[in-house]
Amino acid sequence: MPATLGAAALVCSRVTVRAPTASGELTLLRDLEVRLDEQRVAVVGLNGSGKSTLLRLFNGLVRPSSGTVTVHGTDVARDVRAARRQVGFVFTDPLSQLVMPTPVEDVELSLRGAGVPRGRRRSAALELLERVGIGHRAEHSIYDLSGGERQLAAFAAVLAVEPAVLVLDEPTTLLDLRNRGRLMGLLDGLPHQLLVSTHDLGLAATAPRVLVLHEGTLVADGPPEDVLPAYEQWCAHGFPQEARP
Amino acid sequence: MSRGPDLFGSYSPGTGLLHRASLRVKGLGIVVVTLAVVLSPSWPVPTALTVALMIAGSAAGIGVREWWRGLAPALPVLLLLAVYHVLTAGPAQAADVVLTIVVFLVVTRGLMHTTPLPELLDGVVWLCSPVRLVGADPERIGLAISLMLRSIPFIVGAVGELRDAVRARGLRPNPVRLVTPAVISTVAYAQRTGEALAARGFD
Repeated sequence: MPATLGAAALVCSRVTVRAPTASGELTLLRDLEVRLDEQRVAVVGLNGSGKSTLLRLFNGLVRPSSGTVTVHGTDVARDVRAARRQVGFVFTDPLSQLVMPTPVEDVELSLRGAGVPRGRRRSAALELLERVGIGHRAEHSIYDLSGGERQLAAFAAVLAVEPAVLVLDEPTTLLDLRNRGRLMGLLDGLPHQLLVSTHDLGLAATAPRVLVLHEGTLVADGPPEDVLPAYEQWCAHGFPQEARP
Repeated sequence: MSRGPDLFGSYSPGTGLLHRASLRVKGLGIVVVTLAVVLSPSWPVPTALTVALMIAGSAAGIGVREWWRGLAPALPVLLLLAVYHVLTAGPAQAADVVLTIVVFLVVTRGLMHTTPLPELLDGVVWLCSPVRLVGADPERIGLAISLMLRSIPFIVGAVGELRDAVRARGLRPNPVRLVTPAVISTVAYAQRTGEALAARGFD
């Protein structure tokens, strides 16, 4: 079971993220103020809107230029290790995430990092891969797996360390319809707090709360039935500077 | 991204003698092979070892195609070395040098084929445990070696894909054209791997 949620909130307080570029400084997120208590939250927005930057803040992969980020009360800047123990991060491209040659070895690496004794690692890894539906591919090379199987293997490697929060960066982007269905089924059965960035509005609609980012600014925040139709309109006709559906 | 040439091979489950042998026994065997090769005066010893090791590896399930996949990428370098040593030191010396390298490629493939990487990682960590005395972390060294084994075929595969991309645009894929994008994709791969490890708490 994952760690208990406790004061289950992911919080950004006046967070701004800037990055140097060849032509000057680029603002990736601007003065973001958000508190996420829900079991599942989706983040949508155009490419380059700041979705991935927002997600990476909670795992300490991106540090804010100003403001603070906390995960269940832990200040990420002060104790990034503690934050990473609580937040499992699933990347868009599982090949970036899988660092061992086979799924079972990759999950074992996670279990090793979590301090699971050597003798129990392999059986625990196989059990986990079985749970996500790729037990039969456990000892195949990651290069021989389909995109969906790789995504599920990366997912299993993250689940292995039992984080309280799962952050998924566009998890369905590289998946076909069947694997998308498998992944969504898997997500539905998880007790974890989920934060998902996506272009897949069907996936976003399964969250009770959806955030819309545009050019680093939060332009909408609310239930999917209000936010998603507005987002589709903005995609077609242009984004307002400050929109609230 | 394609797998790239399979220089070292990877673990394949099995129940043969080599699969059942402990890592310590395999490590001892590697030490014996290394001493035999290093102390041997000429090419018959590495030749005999290559044949013996290939027989042992074949009994553990390494087929002809797999041996070929491991040795083929090394052939251009082996050929260059052979020509150089034939010209500078004679055919016997050339055979000794080339066959010594082949022995270690064969040993590596046999070890990788019959040993799960986590078990190898445990072995490397154990071997490196004295570095704790100087404040280093053997776990990091083990992880770095595992990553190297995973990264070499990835990077070679990336170069192959770049070559195809250059060909697809009607250009001749000479090494100069490939160097810059190959370096960029290798650095990007290293960054992504580092980020993935950091996200998993290995920082």
